[in-house]
Amino acid sequence: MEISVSEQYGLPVVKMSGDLDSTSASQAEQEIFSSIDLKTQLVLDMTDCRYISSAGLRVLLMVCKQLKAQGGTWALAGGSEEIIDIMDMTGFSTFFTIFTTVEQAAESLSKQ
Amino acid sequence: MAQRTYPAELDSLEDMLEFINEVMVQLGADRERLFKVRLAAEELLVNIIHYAYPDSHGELSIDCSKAEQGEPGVFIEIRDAGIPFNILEKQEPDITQPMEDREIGGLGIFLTRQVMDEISYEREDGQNIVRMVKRL
Repeated sequence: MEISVSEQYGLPVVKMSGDLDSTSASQAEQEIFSSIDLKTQLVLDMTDCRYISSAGLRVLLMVCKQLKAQGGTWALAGGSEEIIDIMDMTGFSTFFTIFTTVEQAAESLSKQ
Repeated sequence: MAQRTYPAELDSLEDMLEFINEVMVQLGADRERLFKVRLAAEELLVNIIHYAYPDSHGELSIDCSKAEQGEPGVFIEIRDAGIPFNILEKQEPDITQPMEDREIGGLGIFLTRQVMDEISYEREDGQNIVRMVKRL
């Protein structure tokens, strides 16, 4: 798992690549949290995320809760069919608006 | 039947999942099923790793093979000699709650039960035995 933070279309984007699972979740959590402090808008880019388990879902839930507490808004970009399937199964797909691309996610947030 | 034994530790998780993945690939599993079985196995194995042996180091064993009965499928049996834990009795999370009310955690075993086609639990000779089937 690799976490990278960048600015795209004028918004902070946290990109998660690889497998967000039990072995990578705590590192991902630390890296994401160190970069979302005080952020009020964020795109979570899962375009290159191949796999997610409950440990990864836990990280996403914590990120959303933190952004909510900061009065922020967020959107999710990408996510394979299998990942979206798991999010549907757990009710997580209601926590995000899910877009196909980072550009679409950023555009939607910019309008809010 | 291919059987392997591992220390019940997070450091061994990747090897455990790789073993199951190899058998699945040999059986011709597609991408979706590889994903789902990996998920089911990870959740169950991590649960054993975290909770089965609170005061000691223990082991777990994995059997993974072609399902003997019914439609083509993969059969997985996971055994540990830790504290009794019937995964089928674990309370399911309320997945309709809004984000703010959702608790952090509690989804693992729920996911295992969701993605597998058959699952059973037995406590026998001091072991927790979980048997699962995913049809291919």
